[in-house]
Amino acid sequence: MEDPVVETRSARWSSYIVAFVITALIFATALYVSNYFNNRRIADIQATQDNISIDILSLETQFELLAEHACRDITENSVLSSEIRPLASRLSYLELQPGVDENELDRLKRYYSLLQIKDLMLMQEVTQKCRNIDPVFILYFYSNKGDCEDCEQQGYVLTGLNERYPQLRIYSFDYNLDLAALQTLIDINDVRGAVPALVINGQAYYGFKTMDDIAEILPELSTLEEATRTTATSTDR
Amino acid sequence: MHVAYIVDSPSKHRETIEPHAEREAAVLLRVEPRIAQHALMDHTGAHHLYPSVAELLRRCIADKTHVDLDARLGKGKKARSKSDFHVRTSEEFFEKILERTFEVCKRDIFADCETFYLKEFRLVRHVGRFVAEDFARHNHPIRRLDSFFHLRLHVAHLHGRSVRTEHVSGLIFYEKCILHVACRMIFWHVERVEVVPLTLEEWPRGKRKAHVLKNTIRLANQVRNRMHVSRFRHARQYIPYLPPTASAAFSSKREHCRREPLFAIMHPQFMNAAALATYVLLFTSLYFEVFLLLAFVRRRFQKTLPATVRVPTHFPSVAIVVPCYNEGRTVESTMRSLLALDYPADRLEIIAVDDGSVDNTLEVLRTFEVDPRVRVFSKANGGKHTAMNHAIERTHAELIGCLDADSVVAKEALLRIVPVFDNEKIAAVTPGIHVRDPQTILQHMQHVEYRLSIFNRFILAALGSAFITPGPFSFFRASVIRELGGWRYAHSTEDMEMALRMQVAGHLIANAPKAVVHTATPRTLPALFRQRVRWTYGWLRNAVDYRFMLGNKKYGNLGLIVLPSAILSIGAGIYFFLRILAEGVSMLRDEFARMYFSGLYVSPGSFELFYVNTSAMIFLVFVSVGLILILISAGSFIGTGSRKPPAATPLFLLFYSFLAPLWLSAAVVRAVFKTGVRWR
Repeated sequence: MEDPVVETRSARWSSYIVAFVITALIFATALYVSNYFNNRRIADIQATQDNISIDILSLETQFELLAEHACRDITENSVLSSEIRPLASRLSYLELQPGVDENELDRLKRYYSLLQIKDLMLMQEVTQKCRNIDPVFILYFYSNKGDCEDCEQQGYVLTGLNERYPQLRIYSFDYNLDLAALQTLIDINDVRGAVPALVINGQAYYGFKTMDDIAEILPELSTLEEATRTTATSTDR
Repeated sequence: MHVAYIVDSPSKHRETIEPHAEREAAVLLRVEPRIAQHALMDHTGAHHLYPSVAELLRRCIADKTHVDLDARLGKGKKARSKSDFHVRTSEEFFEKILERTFEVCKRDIFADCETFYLKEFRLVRHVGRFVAEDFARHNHPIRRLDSFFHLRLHVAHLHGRSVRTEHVSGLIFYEKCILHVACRMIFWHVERVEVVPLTLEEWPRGKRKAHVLKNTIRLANQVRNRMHVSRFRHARQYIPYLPPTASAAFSSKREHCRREPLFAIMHPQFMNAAALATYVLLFTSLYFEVFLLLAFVRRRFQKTLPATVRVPTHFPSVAIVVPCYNEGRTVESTMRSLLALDYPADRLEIIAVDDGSVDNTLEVLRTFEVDPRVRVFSKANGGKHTAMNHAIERTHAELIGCLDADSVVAKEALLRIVPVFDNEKIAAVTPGIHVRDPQTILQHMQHVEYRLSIFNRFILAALGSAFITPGPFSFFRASVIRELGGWRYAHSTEDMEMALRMQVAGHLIANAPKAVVHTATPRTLPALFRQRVRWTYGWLRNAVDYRFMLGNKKYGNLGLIVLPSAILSIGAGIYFFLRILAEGVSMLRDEFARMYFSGLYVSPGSFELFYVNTSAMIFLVFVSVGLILILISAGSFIGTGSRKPPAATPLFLLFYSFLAPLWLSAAVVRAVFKTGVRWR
């Protein structure tokens, strides 16, 4: 490197412009790359949802075709695809990401909610017909408009509950989502707009509920716990 | 009064409705349990007790009675006691708005895949929203009434017989609420939609309800081969109705929307502003980095000066001032390195000024007086600028330099600097400063920082925008210093002020990076903190004093980009630090909350590739860090000839940006309140 160095103070405008263009290009590239990955994520979710949709449809068709005969083939976990649960956290992650197409995200959320409702209905139908299945349903209505301070905590409680009792069927819905079927579900379950709201066995409960509160409302949980432990034991063998 | 409204389809359109039209019993109930129980018993076995009715009744008495409604089908219907019901007439109920209809102004039909299953598998033709124009008007009289409405759907028969008819949906909704309905009109084509007030009648009214279902199923079987009855019934569960508390529900929902968020920082507008500020700061930081790098690249290709060391054509007289204040421990090595300088002895003068030290500094200095090149002065403590002025008044050297008493110079350093003054326009030359014998992690990180400074000093000189002539081994044309009036206190940063004053006077400041000087750096964080608060404070206060230079084209790059960027970098450093801190705290809080409430110590699915942050901001931060890495590498190349950055570079990149905001913030606060800073 040359030594020493000094230059006059005059400003070279071309340097400013070139630097600006390069910086703008870097910015544009960053936005493009980010957008690309976000689209990949959305496509990923879309594909998963389509798969779930097909799974549910297939199972429903199977159920319709075989009627009661299908009961022995349907277990509690077979309806709700194992892929549907991670979807919720993926969607909520995307919600926090800047630059994600809001319309697309909203569409995915509505689709997801529909899948949940669909799964809920199918499971309720299965429950009515098949005696070997007795699932416990929890519907959870939340809001992420900043008007629900306890929703985040309630979400954690339900996540923990779901991990502890995988047989529990927890469906979470954005109360404010503009979806006809969801609003109908809200009406049917008589959820009055105070969130967080839990609908357990058809009864709506408002406000934050801890695991103990839910255990009190749902005595069946202890049975589920035993079932989980039994499964775990048998797996260990 | 306990009132039960049980509503069937309106009678006034009865004559126009096709016998097989699908009409539901839409229900609005305000039911006392006793009445509900009665109603339930009263309707046992009724074919018209559709799932929606059953569901509503079941919920009304859910806790008290377990009635298997389905099991009662087929049993005889009992008489109902009218006295238990109070049914208002339609005239009474819709006194003011009777017969008034409203055109639907907005009708959104959702036809995308979201509703595919509703359409395909729930026999729904239209899933959509219907909003009546008049309902949207504020303060409309009907809003004040406890009113309920139907949709009147003007439909044409699908079978192409051109029989036009009206069909009133079995859906009821409350005043202006947007109606979300799944209109199950499998066999109809909707031409127009109206909103009509609900007409109440006594109920039950017509045994033909029983036919409706049968006919519909029969027709379904005709049109869509083998329609499954149970599936059709399932669809019926989707009759929307509003519960008695609907108004309360909607009003409370609206209140929720209006409520102020608990933390202003969570407010979307704030978040947007924060994101915008982040992008703006990122852009400006990146722009400055790119600008410097471009200047560097251009400089490399220009090669205006030879890369080899120039031998001075003549040796001007040089005075090197060593201002000392309590430097007894380090000044000896400083003096020895000066005496070892490769420069004609008769042209070199070393002036050591003891600035009122209370330790043995003066004694140590006196030991060097045996050398004819060394002169030692002692004066009352007054600060570095007074020591420098003390020296310049007592020398006739053409060039005057300064060396802090905690630094040592390379043997050939002076030979690298002196030839630069051949250019008459140059008033000062700065050296390449390296960290002296780094030992602690903090010193190693400073070692990296000094490499970055080597680049900055080099490139700022190349842009004619150097604004600091650092204490270790900067040289000045003595005549210029005298002309400018000597050094000033300048908020304890006289080296910065002198450089700015020179720039204002139109002098040039050059850089000779191969003139190597090693300087001692703080070993501990508190010492580093004190030093950097002094530097930043001095810089800010001087920037205020020389604010006329900011954005001033007269000062070229210095005024247009260098000084503004240097100030902005302080703000950006603090801002990014606070932002990261806030997000870190928020993340930790969330994690603790998650662990506490869920009982799970590992977040499920948190390690998936899906969750890797790929936001534009992250990319930009990485690009910015990458550019800094390049600048460090360039600094190493300029200073040592090797492109390899120091080993502690990752530590510097990771942690230094978290340390710097500490002193930046402290300095900003002090600068705002003009508290002043001390050297030690």
